[in-house]
Amino acid sequence: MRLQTIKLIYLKEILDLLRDRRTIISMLVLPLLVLPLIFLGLNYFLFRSISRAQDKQFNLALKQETGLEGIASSLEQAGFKVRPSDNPRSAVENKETDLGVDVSGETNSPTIRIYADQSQLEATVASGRIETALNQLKEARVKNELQRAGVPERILTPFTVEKVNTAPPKKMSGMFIGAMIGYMFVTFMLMGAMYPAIDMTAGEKERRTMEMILSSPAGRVEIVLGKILVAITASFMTSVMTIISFGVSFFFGMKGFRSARQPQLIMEIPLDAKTFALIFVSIIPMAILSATLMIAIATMAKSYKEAQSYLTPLLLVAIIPAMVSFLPGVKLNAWMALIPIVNFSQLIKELMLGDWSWIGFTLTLLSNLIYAAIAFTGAVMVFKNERILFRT
Amino acid sequence: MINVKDLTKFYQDKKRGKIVAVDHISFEANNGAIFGLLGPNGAGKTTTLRMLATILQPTGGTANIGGHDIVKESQQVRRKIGFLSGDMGLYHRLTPREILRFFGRLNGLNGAGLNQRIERLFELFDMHQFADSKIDTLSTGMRQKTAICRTIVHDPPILILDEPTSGLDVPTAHVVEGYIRDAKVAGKCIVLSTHVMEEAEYLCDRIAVIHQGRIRALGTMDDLRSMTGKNRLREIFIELLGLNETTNNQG
Repeated sequence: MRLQTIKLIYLKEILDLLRDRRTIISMLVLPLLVLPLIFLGLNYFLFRSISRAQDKQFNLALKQETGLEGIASSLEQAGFKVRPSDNPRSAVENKETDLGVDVSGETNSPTIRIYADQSQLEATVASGRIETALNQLKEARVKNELQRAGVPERILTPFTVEKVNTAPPKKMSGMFIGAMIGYMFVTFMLMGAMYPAIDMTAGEKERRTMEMILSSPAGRVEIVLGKILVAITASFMTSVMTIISFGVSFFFGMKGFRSARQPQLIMEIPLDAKTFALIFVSIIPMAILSATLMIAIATMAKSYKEAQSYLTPLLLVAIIPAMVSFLPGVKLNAWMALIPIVNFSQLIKELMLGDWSWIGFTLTLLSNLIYAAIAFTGAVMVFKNERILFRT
Repeated sequence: MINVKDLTKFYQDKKRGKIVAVDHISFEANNGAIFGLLGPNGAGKTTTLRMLATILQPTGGTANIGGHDIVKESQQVRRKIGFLSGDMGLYHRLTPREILRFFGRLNGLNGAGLNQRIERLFELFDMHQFADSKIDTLSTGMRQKTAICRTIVHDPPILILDEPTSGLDVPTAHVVEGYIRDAKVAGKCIVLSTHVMEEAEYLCDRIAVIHQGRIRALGTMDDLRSMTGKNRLREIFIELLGLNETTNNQG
């Protein structure tokens, strides 16, 4: 095996791929575009509409059977346009008003029902506003009664309960982002390797250029190795793009979160230098594995289309185990570290949570390297098998 | 020099069982001469040439190319040969210059020597105008010129050409044939396959007529004429393939 030959093949394939639109799209454009779109979309539609719902003047149908005072005025104060109605429920159901309030029962202890279509985000937020307004009214009344009876107000609050979140901000954001990014890494890394792998193997068969390189002084192992290295580069580049894109969209996305008055969602970017380095290291075996696997399988196909029909289902199947990272409370144990893809997406999540173990990390790395070695042996075998290479 | 001895290739096919593609073929091809494999489609010509180019492994027998065994010293063999196929593709997204650089370097050339060689080839085949355009944008003739240059960029002593003119129009085929004759004069050992009698007669010094994996006749054109007692190329061919009996029976 000569390094010079491998390098020549590597550089030629890189040049060839950089001129292929499909590869550029799957490697650069997808991760650079999809992630920001998800974030901006979230930011725009979710948080924008929450913040709008907090200020918007909603129409409200009010039915008041009892003599309870002050309901209408306190709702109006809370920013609702109140209009009397016989049946607030049907008013909401028929979309005549956004919300409905129904005060019924005895004057002494009436029941107040709030009607809201909770499948609508805005209505849910607005019904929260009604509740707040009514609770304020209730409190004012209680205070009034207490004052009249000469009881001090503090009897209402004999003690205060406070919840303190001990998870550092990094962990909070890691929980949310880690789950997502582990999954996205798997998806993008497989996809990033897929098109280059197809192009360099089945694509080359289809374009009838395979014999040319096979009859050159380059050896088969050198050829496969060069091609695999290119697929690894593609997979790796895709993941770097994913990180960059994630960082950027996260940064701008968070600005939106803050302005949307959602303080509990404010998060830090959970990437210190050490976490970054560890993620970087764990990406490498995964990139090798996905690249080699894609090359091995794509070599068996005789055309670009056939390779696509092999690899697309593989991609879908491989993405399912990556979803394990979405499950809360799952820990990366020794057994799990032996399952390819699951181990990787879980490890990424735990690294971002800052809650990981060296055993899990090392086992994941080692097992992925072993799988990569098996895939590599397979790829070389496929490439040396002339029945497969010259299948017609 | 090429020395082929009992070269054999068979496949196992699930449905059709054992398929013999090449059946104990032996021949010699000399330097400064063109040796032709002539036969109909599926006769085993491409399989033979692919084995000589070390792309396929022989099931039996072997060949010696420029002093190296194709099975045991495949890498040294590949250094000595230039392999070309008429329908062989080129990297679509690269330019002729990039392709020649790549194959030149794979063959151990580099630096000024390689650049000079490439310039000479561009001169020889009048390729300067499209040397830096992507293959995608070139005509068939331009591509075939590029393919030839790719085959000979390292100036190999042995040329293995699989139907080098198939699918080409007359002017382009003429360029290719011109080159093959020049290579012969330059003392190279050339083996080519064709299914066109006229091309075999026009180019080859010696011809092996191959059918169903076996050599049916071997010799100069005159040898073949006296062997069959026929004069016209088509008749010789039909005679050697044993096709005329069936036609007679049917007729």
